[in-house]
Amino acid sequence: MLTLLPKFEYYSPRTLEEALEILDKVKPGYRVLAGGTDLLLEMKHKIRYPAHAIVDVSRLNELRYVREKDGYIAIGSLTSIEDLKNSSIIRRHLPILVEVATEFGTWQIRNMATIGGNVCNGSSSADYPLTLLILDAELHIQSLKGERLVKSELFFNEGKAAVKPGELLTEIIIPKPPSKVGTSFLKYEGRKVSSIPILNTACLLELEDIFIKDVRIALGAVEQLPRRLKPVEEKLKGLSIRDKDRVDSVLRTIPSLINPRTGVVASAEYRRAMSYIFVKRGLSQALERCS
Amino acid sequence: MEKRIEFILNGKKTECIVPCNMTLLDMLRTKLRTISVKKGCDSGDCGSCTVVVNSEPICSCLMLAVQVDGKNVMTLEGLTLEGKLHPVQQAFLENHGMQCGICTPGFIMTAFSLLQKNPTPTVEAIREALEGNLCRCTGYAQIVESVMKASKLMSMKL
Repeated sequence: MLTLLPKFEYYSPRTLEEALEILDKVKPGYRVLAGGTDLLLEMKHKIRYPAHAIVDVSRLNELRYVREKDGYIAIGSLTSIEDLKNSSIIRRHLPILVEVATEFGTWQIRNMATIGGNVCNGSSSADYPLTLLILDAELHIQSLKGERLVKSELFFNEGKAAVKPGELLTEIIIPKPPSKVGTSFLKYEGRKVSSIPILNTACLLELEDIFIKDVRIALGAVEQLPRRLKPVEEKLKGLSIRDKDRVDSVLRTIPSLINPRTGVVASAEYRRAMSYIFVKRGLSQALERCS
Repeated sequence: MEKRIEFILNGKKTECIVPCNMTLLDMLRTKLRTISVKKGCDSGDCGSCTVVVNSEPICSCLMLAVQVDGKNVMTLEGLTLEGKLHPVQQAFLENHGMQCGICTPGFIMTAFSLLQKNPTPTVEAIREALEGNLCRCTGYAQIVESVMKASKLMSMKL
């Protein structure tokens, strides 16, 4: 039986310049096709699918790269998850992105899905937004009229609306973390492969002797959008990691600071309780990796 | 909206006029009759539609047919040369790497891609590569053994 997809105008630019020209002209309400792993599913299930046109950017090979620069790593938005997983630059400087890739879908899906697509889809449970949040990444967005650089926190605050009509996310810029930083990524899900997580969390920890110099915590799948737990971070800074009681009393405030949603995989109440447990686990894993 | 596309299918230059909203899976099965490619879940979970595009295994149910314009596509039909089974097929046959057979072409295409990249994979590497292919009959043990055997057959050939 044939799979019936809605009809659409199809544009297939070969260069970034051509893509930006098309995006400028095409009526808003179009969708950008990068890896297609989410978009085609949406089209099949006709979820939130008003699109009259598809701009297929999957041929823009100029946006597939990982580059090491002075003080930061630049990732082209169309870099596949499998390419990230195998990149020696990413392995050395941003091992947490490899960790995420290992948990990401299946080999077939990793070959198709792109980091830019994962970031632009505005899903609360998407894995890369979380890690970009704790890495203080910036997103480079271009259009025919100009370009802008958006901090990841502002970007993910806007969900799907972060990239405006006519614009394309072209690059992700990640400052190299200091060498003595420990990071962790944890995903809690009912089933191991390709499912909706109950929650996911990313943590970054930097120590000075036994004191917490910097700590960043992001929580996803719990609320409408992934976000940093800044009040918790501020209270943890300066504490001794040996002072387990004080650290724990700060972490115990997390359930009261979030507003979880009830979904098919977990209730709000359960997510609230698990948020404390998983942030605690994430931080102790990050601590083990501080060296 | 329709588009004329040109690509390499199993080593042969192929032309096709396809609706833009047709998946690669539907084009392969209905327009080009490469029916080894199976439609299972049609949503990227089961891997039975796995084909190799430009040397990478992908789910043909999640790709538009127009996206392969100018690319190199390989299905199970392309593995058999002059009626002779490919070592991966031979190994699946000898080790009972299949029962009902629906998932088999997908498994073989993924295993074939793995062996192209890593001719001597460990059991762990095989399990990881095959994570995206589901089989409800075999329990996977014979499939993993089949891939190990294929690796041996292929190294002997060299």
